[in-house]
Amino acid sequence: MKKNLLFVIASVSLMLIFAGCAKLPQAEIDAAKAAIEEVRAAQADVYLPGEFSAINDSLRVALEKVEAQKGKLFKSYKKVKVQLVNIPTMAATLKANTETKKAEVKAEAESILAAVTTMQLENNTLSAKLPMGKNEREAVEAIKAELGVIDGAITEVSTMLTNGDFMGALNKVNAVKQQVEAKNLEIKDVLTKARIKF
Amino acid sequence: MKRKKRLVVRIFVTLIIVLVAGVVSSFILIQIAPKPPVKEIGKAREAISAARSVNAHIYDPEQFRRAERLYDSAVLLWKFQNQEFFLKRNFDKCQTYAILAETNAILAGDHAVEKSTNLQKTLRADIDKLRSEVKDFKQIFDRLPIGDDISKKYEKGKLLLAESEVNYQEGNYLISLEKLTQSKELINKAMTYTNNMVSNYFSNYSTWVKWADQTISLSKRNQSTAILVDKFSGKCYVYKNGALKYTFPAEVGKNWVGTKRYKGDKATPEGFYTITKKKSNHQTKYYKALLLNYPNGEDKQRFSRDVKEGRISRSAQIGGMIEIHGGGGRGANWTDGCIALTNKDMDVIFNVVSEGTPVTIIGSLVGLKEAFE
Repeated sequence: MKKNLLFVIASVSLMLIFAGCAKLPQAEIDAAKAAIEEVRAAQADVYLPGEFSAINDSLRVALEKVEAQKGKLFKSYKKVKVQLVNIPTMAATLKANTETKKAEVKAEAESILAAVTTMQLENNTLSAKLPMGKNEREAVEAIKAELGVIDGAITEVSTMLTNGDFMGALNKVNAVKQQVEAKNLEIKDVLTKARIKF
Repeated sequence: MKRKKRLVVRIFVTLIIVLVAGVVSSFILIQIAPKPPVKEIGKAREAISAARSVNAHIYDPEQFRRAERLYDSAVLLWKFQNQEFFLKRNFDKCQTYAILAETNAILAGDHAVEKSTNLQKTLRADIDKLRSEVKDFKQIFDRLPIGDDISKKYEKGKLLLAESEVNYQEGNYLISLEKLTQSKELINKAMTYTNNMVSNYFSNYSTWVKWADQTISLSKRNQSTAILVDKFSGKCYVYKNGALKYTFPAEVGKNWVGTKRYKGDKATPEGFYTITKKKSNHQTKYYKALLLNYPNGEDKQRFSRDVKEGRISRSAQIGGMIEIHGGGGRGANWTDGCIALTNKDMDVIFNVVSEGTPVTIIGSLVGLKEAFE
């Protein structure tokens, strides 16, 4: 009987001790935070902002749960630990997705840049054939000045790509594309009206 | 033995009582202990997340950041209070911060939606307006001798306008606005410069009309030949006895907007002149030429005034040797200030004029409005 009693007391005490002193999952918290910083450095906030926001929220939820457990008499970090452990895994997936997205944006920008460069080359070649009539002279000079500015913009896009600003490069090259195509039509129109073969 | 057993039972009962009392009192204490604002903090987080999803961090960054700071402070206070003895904890401030964080996040979200919707509308209108202005302006811009610097500014402005459109289509309204603002600045500079140039040029229009009328009247009154050169339309008119006899295409100085002020400005003078010499054969390199009496009295007065008032350098010269000559037909304003006709037209004009024939050079026979219609 005495033995049973001692066993009960010891068990309750141990339970209380273990419950009260459950270990804070600090390593998991640090790992989750580090994983998110890594994803930020990979520019997930730029290329996949929605997903990046979601993973940040997951960390916030987990940290709230940690605080909630800290305040309890009988602490248990088991569930939150699972959540925290998941964050680096999610971050790794997000990082990979970001890299894929970046590669896609880069490839798209490069592809448009290649097409734009080819058309601009044609524009420069055709501009040499433009008629220099009285009423066309200034217009031709304007076309040539515009082609010069476009050449500069194409160089700028290449620099942006080299510097890793793929999203900026994509937006800029799309704008340049509009200008190059408009110029191409304008030059061909002038040549057609002047009956100059091209 | 019985006493011992009774003692054990007593101890056991006492322990149970103590334990139950402990559990009950703990339960009561836990119940009455201050509670962290878990719900409020959760709501604040959700509000921040919702605000971010409508780009509050872009459209109302100040309020959004305030919401985030308040949320972080609430969590931090929660953390600090957790370190206190559980009965001594006070979550009032933490709760206030959490509620404020939620309020600020909701406001930031609302502002973001309102701002982006308004921006979307105004941007569409502004981009379309600037595009239309650029289109209308093209016909003016393309006809004038605009300097390289202004031309490049104008083209860069057009490229930025295209970038603004691309960003608008992508939903990046703030970037679109930034590009549009930069574009407007460059395009407006070019437009202002060009409009000033054109307005200044055409400010003499009434004088030019008078000069043209006087020239034609003189030709009629004296039953003589007179030449009228219109720089804007690039035409050389030959009047005989007040009636128009010939119209030739004419090419003038590269910087044809404005009168000639000094040697080397590549401008064609405006005013009343006469032919002082007819040149042919080896007297000119341009097939045939009609030398004019530039500078006339008015040109000399203007030049002296410009030098005196520092508008042109003291070392500048007034220039001379302004002619109507052959070698034209290049289809461009290319001369250093002379008027170039085709050799064929030069033959015709050469035969109908003589030394003393009046030559009136004007900016335009049509007004500003008609000129660009």
